[in-house]
Amino acid sequence: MNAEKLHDALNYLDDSMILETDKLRHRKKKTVIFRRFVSCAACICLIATAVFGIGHMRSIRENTPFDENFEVSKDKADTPPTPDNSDPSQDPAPPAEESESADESVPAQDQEKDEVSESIEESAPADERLPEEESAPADEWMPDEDFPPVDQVPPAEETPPEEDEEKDEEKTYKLVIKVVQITTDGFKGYVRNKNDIYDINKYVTVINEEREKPIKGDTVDVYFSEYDGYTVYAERIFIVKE
Amino acid sequence: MRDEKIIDLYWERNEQAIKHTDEKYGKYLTKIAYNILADKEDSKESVNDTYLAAWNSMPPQRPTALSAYLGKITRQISIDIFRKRNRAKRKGSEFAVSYDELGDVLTTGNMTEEQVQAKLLGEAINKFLLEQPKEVRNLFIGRYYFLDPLKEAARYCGMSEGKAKSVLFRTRNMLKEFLQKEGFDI
Repeated sequence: MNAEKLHDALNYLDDSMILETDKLRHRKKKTVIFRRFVSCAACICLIATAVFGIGHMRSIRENTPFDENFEVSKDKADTPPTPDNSDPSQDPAPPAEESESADESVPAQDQEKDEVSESIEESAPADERLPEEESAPADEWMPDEDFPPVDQVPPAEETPPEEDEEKDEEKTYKLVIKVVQITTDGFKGYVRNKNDIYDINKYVTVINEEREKPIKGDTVDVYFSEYDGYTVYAERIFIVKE
Repeated sequence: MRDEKIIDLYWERNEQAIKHTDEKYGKYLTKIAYNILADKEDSKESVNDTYLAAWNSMPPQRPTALSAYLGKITRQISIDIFRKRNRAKRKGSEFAVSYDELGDVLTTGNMTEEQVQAKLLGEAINKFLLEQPKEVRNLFIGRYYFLDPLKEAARYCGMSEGKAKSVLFRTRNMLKEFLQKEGFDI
Protein backbone atom coordinates (compact mmCIF):
# COMPACT_ATOMS: atom_id res chain seq x y z
CA MET A 1 0.00 0.00 0.00
CA ASN A 2 1.24 3.45 -0.81
CA ALA A 3 0.09 7.04 -0.57
CA GLU A 4 -1.64 6.83 -3.94
CA LYS A 5 -3.93 4.11 -2.70
CA LEU A 6 -4.69 6.10 0.41
CA HIS A 7 -5.61 9.08 -1.72
CA ASP A 8 -7.82 6.91 -3.86
CA ALA A 9 -9.44 5.52 -0.74
CA LEU A 10 -10.20 9.01 0.51
CA ASN A 11 -12.62 9.36 -2.40
CA TYR A 12 -14.84 6.88 -0.56
CA LEU A 13 -15.25 9.09 2.48
CA ASP A 14 -18.77 9.77 3.68
CA ASP A 15 -20.42 12.76 2.07
CA SER A 16 -21.60 13.96 5.46
CA MET A 17 -18.04 14.31 6.76
CA ILE A 18 -16.91 16.04 3.59
CA LEU A 19 -19.82 18.46 3.69
CA GLU A 20 -19.17 19.18 7.36
CA THR A 21 -15.56 20.13 6.68
CA ASP A 22 -16.49 22.07 3.56
CA LYS A 23 -19.02 24.09 5.53
CA LEU A 24 -16.34 24.90 8.06
CA ARG A 25 -13.96 26.04 5.33
CA HIS A 26 -16.44 28.50 3.91
CA ARG A 27 -17.84 29.73 7.20
CA LYS A 28 -14.46 30.49 8.69
CA LYS A 29 -13.39 32.39 5.64
CA LYS A 30 -16.34 34.71 5.92
CA THR A 31 -15.63 35.30 9.58
CA VAL A 32 -12.07 36.29 8.84
CA ILE A 33 -13.17 38.67 6.12
CA PHE A 34 -15.65 40.23 8.52
CA ARG A 35 -12.99 40.58 11.20
CA ARG A 36 -10.63 42.18 8.75
CA PHE A 37 -13.32 44.59 7.69
CA VAL A 38 -14.11 45.50 11.27
CA SER A 39 -10.46 45.98 12.19
CA CYS A 40 -9.88 48.10 9.09
CA ALA A 41 -12.93 50.21 9.88
CA ALA A 42 -11.76 50.63 13.47
CA CYS A 43 -8.32 51.73 12.31
CA ILE A 44 -9.81 54.23 9.88
CA CYS A 45 -12.06 55.63 12.61
CA LEU A 46 -9.11 55.92 14.95
CA ILE A 47 -6.99 57.72 12.40
CA ALA A 48 -9.85 60.02 11.43
CA THR A 49 -10.49 60.86 15.07
CA ALA A 50 -6.82 61.55 15.68
CA VAL A 51 -6.53 63.76 12.59
CA PHE A 52 -9.70 65.64 13.45
CA GLY A 53 -8.59 66.06 17.04
CA ILE A 54 -5.17 67.39 16.10
CA GLY A 55 -6.71 69.73 13.55
CA HIS A 56 -9.22 70.96 16.08
CA MET A 57 -6.54 71.57 18.68
CA ARG A 58 -4.43 73.43 16.15
CA SER A 59 -7.32 75.59 15.12
CA ILE A 60 -7.96 76.43 18.77
CA ARG A 61 -4.31 77.30 19.23
CA GLU A 62 -4.24 79.40 16.12
CA ASN A 63 -7.39 81.25 17.07
CA THR A 64 -6.02 82.00 20.49
CA PRO A 65 -4.37 85.41 20.52
CA PHE A 66 -1.19 85.16 22.43
CA ASP A 67 1.27 87.71 21.35
CA GLU A 68 -1.17 90.06 19.82
CA ASN A 69 -3.29 92.28 21.89
CA PHE A 70 -6.93 92.24 22.34
CA GLU A 71 -9.72 91.88 19.93
CA VAL A 72 -13.06 93.11 20.92
CA SER A 73 -16.17 91.39 19.81
CA LYS A 74 -19.68 91.59 20.93
CA ASP A 75 -20.33 88.20 19.47
CA LYS A 76 -18.44 86.58 22.24
CA ALA A 77 -20.95 87.85 24.69
CA ASP A 78 -23.10 84.94 23.67
CA THR A 79 -20.64 82.43 24.94
CA PRO A 80 -18.70 83.87 27.77
CA PRO A 81 -16.70 81.21 29.56
CA THR A 82 -17.98 81.99 32.96
CA PRO A 83 -17.04 80.08 36.07
CA ASP A 84 -19.53 77.49 37.11
CA ASN A 85 -18.86 75.98 40.48
CA SER A 86 -16.66 78.24 42.43
CA ASP A 87 -17.64 81.17 44.47
CA PRO A 88 -15.23 83.93 43.69
CA SER A 89 -16.40 86.02 46.55
CA GLN A 90 -14.96 83.49 48.97
CA ASP A 91 -11.51 83.84 47.59
CA PRO A 92 -9.35 86.35 49.22
CA ALA A 93 -8.71 89.11 46.76
CA PRO A 94 -5.62 91.19 47.01
CA PRO A 95 -5.71 94.80 46.18
CA ALA A 96 -4.39 95.95 42.91
CA GLU A 97 -0.83 94.95 42.63
CA GLU A 98 0.18 97.87 40.58
CA SER A 99 -2.48 100.37 40.39
CA GLU A 100 -0.48 102.57 38.15
CA SER A 101 0.00 99.93 35.60
CA ALA A 102 -3.56 98.86 36.05
CA ASP A 103 -4.79 102.30 35.36
CA GLU A 104 -2.69 102.46 32.31
CA SER A 105 -3.87 99.14 31.18
CA VAL A 106 -7.47 100.21 31.00
CA PRO A 107 -7.49 102.64 28.21
CA ALA A 108 -10.86 101.39 27.23
CA GLN A 109 -12.47 103.65 29.71
CA ASP A 110 -12.33 106.55 27.37
CA GLN A 111 -12.76 104.72 24.16
CA GLU A 112 -15.60 103.13 22.36
CA LYS A 113 -16.59 99.73 23.63
CA ASP A 114 -15.71 97.74 20.53
CA GLU A 115 -12.38 99.27 19.89
CA VAL A 116 -10.71 99.14 23.22
CA SER A 117 -8.07 96.53 23.72
CA GLU A 118 -4.98 96.33 25.71
CA SER A 119 -2.69 93.87 27.31
CA ILE A 120 -1.68 93.86 30.86
CA GLU A 121 1.75 92.94 29.83
CA GLU A 122 2.04 96.15 27.99
CA SER A 123 0.70 98.01 30.94
CA ALA A 124 3.21 96.48 33.27
CA PRO A 125 6.61 98.00 33.71
CA ALA A 126 9.23 96.82 31.32
CA ASP A 127 11.15 94.92 33.96
CA GLU A 128 8.02 93.00 34.89
CA ARG A 129 7.23 91.96 31.36
CA LEU A 130 9.60 89.09 31.37
CA PRO A 131 9.56 86.85 28.39
CA GLU A 132 8.86 83.23 29.06
CA GLU A 133 12.39 82.14 28.37
CA GLU A 134 13.94 84.88 30.42
CA SER A 135 11.79 84.45 33.45
CA ALA A 136 13.31 83.94 36.84
CA PRO A 137 13.91 80.41 38.09
CA ALA A 138 10.96 78.48 39.37
CA ASP A 139 9.99 78.94 42.96
CA GLU A 140 7.14 77.79 45.05
CA TRP A 141 4.08 79.88 45.36
CA MET A 142 3.65 81.84 48.53
CA PRO A 143 0.00 82.67 49.08
CA ASP A 144 -0.70 86.06 50.46
CA GLU A 145 -3.08 85.66 53.32
CA ASP A 146 -3.60 89.35 53.70
CA PHE A 147 -5.65 89.65 50.58
CA PRO A 148 -9.14 90.78 51.38
CA PRO A 149 -12.18 89.11 49.90
CA VAL A 150 -13.18 90.16 46.46
CA ASP A 151 -16.18 92.09 47.62
CA GLN A 152 -14.00 94.21 49.80
CA VAL A 153 -11.45 94.94 47.19
CA PRO A 154 -11.61 98.54 46.24
CA PRO A 155 -11.44 99.38 42.57
CA ALA A 156 -7.96 99.56 41.32
CA GLU A 157 -8.43 103.10 40.16
CA GLU A 158 -9.22 104.20 43.67
CA THR A 159 -6.30 102.41 45.21
CA PRO A 160 -3.67 104.83 46.23
CA PRO A 161 -0.40 104.16 44.46
CA GLU A 162 1.42 104.14 47.77
CA GLU A 163 -0.49 101.07 48.99
CA ASP A 164 0.19 99.28 45.77
CA GLU A 165 3.83 99.91 46.06
CA GLU A 166 3.83 98.55 49.59
CA LYS A 167 2.04 95.43 48.51
CA ASP A 168 4.36 95.04 45.62
CA GLU A 169 7.14 94.81 48.06
CA GLU A 170 5.33 92.21 50.11
CA LYS A 171 4.51 90.06 47.15
CA THR A 172 6.89 87.52 45.93
CA TYR A 173 4.97 86.47 42.85
CA LYS A 174 2.50 87.94 40.55
CA LEU A 175 0.51 86.92 37.56
CA VAL A 176 1.07 88.73 34.34
CA ILE A 177 -1.78 88.56 31.94
CA LYS A 178 -0.30 88.00 28.56
CA VAL A 179 -3.30 88.61 26.41
CA VAL A 180 -6.44 90.39 27.44
CA GLN A 181 -9.49 91.52 25.64
CA ILE A 182 -11.48 94.33 27.01
CA THR A 183 -14.19 96.46 25.61
CA THR A 184 -15.37 98.75 28.28
CA ASP A 185 -14.03 101.12 30.77
CA GLY A 186 -12.81 98.65 33.25
CA PHE A 187 -13.66 95.04 33.65
CA LYS A 188 -14.18 92.38 36.11
CA GLY A 189 -13.46 88.77 35.54
CA TYR A 190 -11.99 85.58 36.74
CA VAL A 191 -8.72 83.85 36.60
CA ARG A 192 -8.96 80.14 36.42
CA ASN A 193 -6.42 77.44 36.68
CA LYS A 194 -7.10 73.74 36.55
CA ASN A 195 -8.93 73.57 39.85
CA ASP A 196 -10.09 76.98 40.94
CA ILE A 197 -11.50 80.20 39.65
CA TYR A 198 -10.39 83.52 41.07
CA ASP A 199 -11.69 86.99 40.82
CA ILE A 200 -9.54 89.56 39.23
CA ASN A 201 -9.99 93.26 39.19
CA LYS A 202 -8.03 95.70 37.18
CA TYR A 203 -5.40 93.23 36.12
CA VAL A 204 -4.76 92.22 39.65
CA THR A 205 -5.02 88.55 40.06
CA VAL A 206 -6.07 87.11 43.33
CA ILE A 207 -4.81 83.75 44.24
CA ASN A 208 -6.72 81.65 46.69
CA GLU A 209 -4.85 80.09 49.57
CA GLU A 210 -6.14 76.74 48.52
CA ARG A 211 -4.77 77.16 45.06
CA GLU A 212 -2.07 74.88 43.88
CA LYS A 213 1.29 76.48 44.09
CA PRO A 214 2.22 77.84 40.72
CA ILE A 215 5.74 78.03 39.54
CA LYS A 216 7.41 80.17 37.00
CA GLY A 217 6.33 79.43 33.52
CA ASP A 218 2.91 78.14 34.46
CA THR A 219 0.20 79.00 32.03
CA VAL A 220 -3.18 79.75 33.48
CA ASP A 221 -6.30 80.31 31.45
CA VAL A 222 -8.10 83.50 32.23
CA TYR A 223 -11.78 84.09 31.70
CA PHE A 224 -13.71 87.25 32.26
CA SER A 225 -17.36 87.47 32.85
CA GLU A 226 -19.71 89.76 31.12
CA TYR A 227 -19.32 93.30 32.23
CA ASP A 228 -21.79 96.02 31.37
CA GLY A 229 -23.08 93.99 28.49
CA TYR A 230 -19.71 93.30 26.94
CA THR A 231 -17.71 90.17 27.04
CA VAL A 232 -14.24 90.61 28.29
CA TYR A 233 -11.84 87.79 28.53
CA ALA A 234 -8.22 86.93 28.43
CA GLU A 235 -6.70 83.79 27.14
CA ARG A 236 -3.53 83.24 29.08
CA ILE A 237 -1.50 84.52 31.88
CA PHE A 238 2.01 83.66 32.82
CA ILE A 239 3.33 83.37 36.28
CA VAL A 240 6.62 85.07 36.79
CA LYS A 241 8.70 85.89 39.75
CA GLU A 242 9.18 89.50 40.46
CA MET B 1 -30.55 27.15 -8.17
CA ARG B 2 -31.05 24.28 -5.77
CA ASP B 3 -29.15 21.05 -6.16
CA GLU B 4 -32.32 19.06 -6.76
CA LYS B 5 -33.24 21.27 -9.70
CA ILE B 6 -29.78 20.94 -11.20
CA ILE B 7 -29.91 17.15 -10.85
CA ASP B 8 -33.33 17.21 -12.47
CA LEU B 9 -31.85 19.09 -15.40
CA TYR B 10 -29.18 16.41 -15.74
CA TRP B 11 -31.85 13.79 -15.73
CA GLU B 12 -33.81 15.71 -18.33
CA ARG B 13 -30.61 15.85 -20.41
CA ASN B 14 -30.83 19.61 -20.39
CA GLU B 15 -27.52 21.30 -21.15
CA GLN B 16 -28.45 24.13 -18.81
CA ALA B 17 -27.48 21.70 -16.04
CA ILE B 18 -23.80 22.17 -16.83
CA LYS B 19 -24.18 25.95 -16.95
CA HIS B 20 -25.87 26.03 -13.56
CA THR B 21 -23.35 23.58 -12.14
CA ASP B 22 -20.54 25.81 -13.30
CA GLU B 23 -22.22 28.89 -11.83
CA LYS B 24 -22.75 27.24 -8.48
CA TYR B 25 -19.75 24.96 -8.08
CA GLY B 26 -17.23 26.19 -10.62
CA LYS B 27 -14.99 27.93 -8.09
CA TYR B 28 -15.33 25.16 -5.56
CA LEU B 29 -14.25 22.51 -8.04
CA THR B 30 -11.48 24.66 -9.46
CA LYS B 31 -10.07 25.09 -5.98
CA ILE B 32 -10.01 21.34 -5.40
CA ALA B 33 -8.35 20.78 -8.75
CA TYR B 34 -5.85 23.57 -8.23
CA ASN B 35 -4.85 22.21 -4.81
CA ILE B 36 -3.82 18.99 -6.55
CA LEU B 37 -2.43 20.27 -9.82
CA ALA B 38 -1.18 23.75 -8.96
CA ASP B 39 -1.84 24.79 -12.52
CA LYS B 40 -4.72 26.89 -13.82
CA GLU B 41 -4.98 25.32 -17.24
CA ASP B 42 -4.87 21.80 -15.88
CA SER B 43 -7.42 22.76 -13.23
CA LYS B 44 -9.80 24.09 -15.88
CA GLU B 45 -9.36 20.93 -17.88
CA SER B 46 -10.06 18.88 -14.78
CA VAL B 47 -13.22 20.81 -13.99
CA ASN B 48 -14.46 20.49 -17.58
CA ASP B 49 -13.83 16.76 -17.41
CA THR B 50 -15.83 16.75 -14.20
CA TYR B 51 -18.84 18.29 -15.96
CA LEU B 52 -18.56 15.68 -18.67
CA ALA B 53 -18.32 12.88 -16.12
CA ALA B 54 -21.32 14.28 -14.26
CA TRP B 55 -23.26 14.50 -17.53
CA ASN B 56 -22.43 10.87 -18.30
CA SER B 57 -23.16 9.59 -14.80
CA MET B 58 -26.51 11.33 -14.25
CA PRO B 59 -28.62 9.37 -14.91
CA PRO B 60 -28.40 6.75 -13.52
CA GLN B 61 -26.74 8.39 -10.50
CA ARG B 62 -28.82 10.70 -8.33
CA PRO B 63 -26.45 12.08 -5.67
CA THR B 64 -27.84 13.27 -2.36
CA ALA B 65 -25.09 15.88 -2.01
CA LEU B 66 -24.17 17.29 -5.40
CA SER B 67 -21.17 19.26 -4.17
CA ALA B 68 -19.56 16.22 -2.54
CA TYR B 69 -20.35 14.13 -5.59
CA LEU B 70 -18.80 16.60 -8.01
CA GLY B 71 -15.89 17.19 -5.66
CA LYS B 72 -15.03 13.51 -5.61
CA ILE B 73 -15.11 13.36 -9.40
CA THR B 74 -12.89 16.44 -9.71
CA ARG B 75 -10.51 15.09 -7.11
CA GLN B 76 -10.13 11.74 -8.86
CA ILE B 77 -9.73 13.32 -12.30
CA SER B 78 -7.16 15.77 -10.95
CA ILE B 79 -5.18 12.99 -9.28
CA ASP B 80 -5.22 11.07 -12.57
CA ILE B 81 -3.98 14.16 -14.44
CA PHE B 82 -1.30 14.62 -11.82
CA ARG B 83 -0.11 11.04 -12.26
CA LYS B 84 -0.08 11.35 -16.03
CA ARG B 85 1.89 14.55 -15.81
CA ASN B 86 4.47 12.98 -13.53
CA ARG B 87 4.73 10.01 -15.83
CA ALA B 88 5.41 12.34 -18.74
CA LYS B 89 8.22 13.96 -16.79
CA ARG B 90 9.91 10.61 -16.34
CA LYS B 91 9.89 9.85 -20.05
CA GLY B 92 13.58 10.60 -20.36
CA SER B 93 14.50 7.69 -18.16
CA GLU B 94 14.50 4.21 -19.67
CA PHE B 95 14.01 2.79 -16.22
CA ALA B 96 10.82 4.83 -15.82
CA VAL B 97 9.55 3.62 -19.18
CA SER B 98 10.19 0.00 -18.33
CA TYR B 99 8.67 0.53 -14.89
CA ASP B 100 5.48 1.86 -16.46
CA GLU B 101 5.37 -0.98 -18.98
CA LEU B 102 5.78 -3.62 -16.28
CA GLY B 103 3.30 -1.82 -14.11
CA ASP B 104 0.73 -1.98 -16.87
CA VAL B 105 1.27 -5.73 -17.10
CA LEU B 106 0.85 -6.17 -13.37
CA THR B 107 -2.26 -4.08 -13.06
CA THR B 108 -4.02 -5.51 -16.10
CA GLY B 109 -7.16 -7.26 -15.02
CA ASN B 110 -6.82 -6.15 -11.40
CA MET B 111 -8.70 -2.85 -11.65
CA THR B 112 -11.83 -4.18 -10.02
CA GLU B 113 -9.86 -5.68 -7.22
CA GLU B 114 -8.02 -2.41 -6.71
CA GLN B 115 -11.27 -0.51 -6.62
CA VAL B 116 -12.69 -2.92 -4.09
CA GLN B 117 -9.57 -2.56 -2.00
CA ALA B 118 -9.76 1.19 -2.22
CA LYS B 119 -13.39 1.09 -1.17
CA LEU B 120 -12.59 -1.15 1.78
CA LEU B 121 -9.75 1.11 2.75
CA GLY B 122 -12.02 4.11 2.41
CA GLU B 123 -14.59 2.53 4.70
CA ALA B 124 -11.88 1.79 7.25
CA ILE B 125 -10.71 5.41 7.13
CA ASN B 126 -14.33 6.49 7.51
CA LYS B 127 -14.63 4.37 10.60
CA PHE B 128 -11.40 5.72 12.01
CA LEU B 129 -12.34 9.33 11.39
CA LEU B 130 -15.76 8.93 12.96
CA GLU B 131 -14.01 7.94 16.18
CA GLN B 132 -11.88 11.07 16.17
CA PRO B 133 -12.87 14.42 17.65
CA LYS B 134 -14.62 16.76 15.29
CA GLU B 135 -11.69 19.14 15.23
CA VAL B 136 -9.21 16.42 14.28
CA ARG B 137 -11.55 14.99 11.70
CA ASN B 138 -12.08 18.33 10.00
CA LEU B 139 -8.38 19.01 9.96
CA PHE B 140 -7.59 15.60 8.49
CA ILE B 141 -10.22 15.88 5.77
CA GLY B 142 -9.27 19.46 5.00
CA ARG B 143 -5.64 18.56 4.65
CA TYR B 144 -5.84 15.19 2.90
CA TYR B 145 -9.14 15.24 1.08
CA PHE B 146 -9.44 18.87 0.04
CA LEU B 147 -5.63 19.11 0.04
CA ASP B 148 -5.72 22.57 1.54
CA PRO B 149 -2.40 24.05 2.66
CA LEU B 150 -1.59 23.32 6.28
CA LYS B 151 -1.82 26.96 7.24
CA GLU B 152 -5.26 27.37 5.76
CA ALA B 153 -6.55 24.12 7.25
CA ALA B 154 -5.24 25.14 10.67
CA ARG B 155 -6.93 28.52 10.34
CA TYR B 156 -10.40 27.26 9.61
CA CYS B 157 -10.05 24.58 12.26
CA GLY B 158 -9.21 27.28 14.77
CA MET B 159 -5.71 26.20 15.73
CA SER B 160 -2.16 27.28 15.16
CA GLU B 161 -0.08 25.87 12.35
CA GLY B 162 2.26 24.15 14.77
CA LYS B 163 -0.57 22.52 16.65
CA ALA B 164 -2.18 21.41 13.38
CA LYS B 165 1.10 19.84 12.34
CA SER B 166 1.41 17.85 15.53
CA VAL B 167 -2.27 16.84 15.46
CA LEU B 168 -1.88 15.54 11.92
CA PHE B 169 1.28 13.66 12.86
CA ARG B 170 -0.47 11.92 15.76
CA THR B 171 -3.52 11.20 13.63
CA ARG B 172 -1.44 9.61 10.87
CA ASN B 173 0.26 7.36 13.40
CA MET B 174 -3.07 6.40 14.91
CA LEU B 175 -4.47 5.69 11.45
CA LYS B 176 -1.51 3.47 10.68
CA GLU B 177 -2.09 1.47 13.85
CA PHE B 178 -5.78 1.32 13.15
CA LEU B 179 -5.32 0.02 9.62
CA GLN B 180 -2.83 -2.58 10.80
CA LYS B 181 -5.37 -3.78 13.33
CA GLU B 182 -7.96 -3.91 10.57
CA GLY B 183 -5.70 -6.22 8.59
CA PHE B 184 -4.43 -3.91 5.88
CA ASP B 185 -0.94 -4.36 4.57
CA ILE B 186 0.96 -1.24 5.51
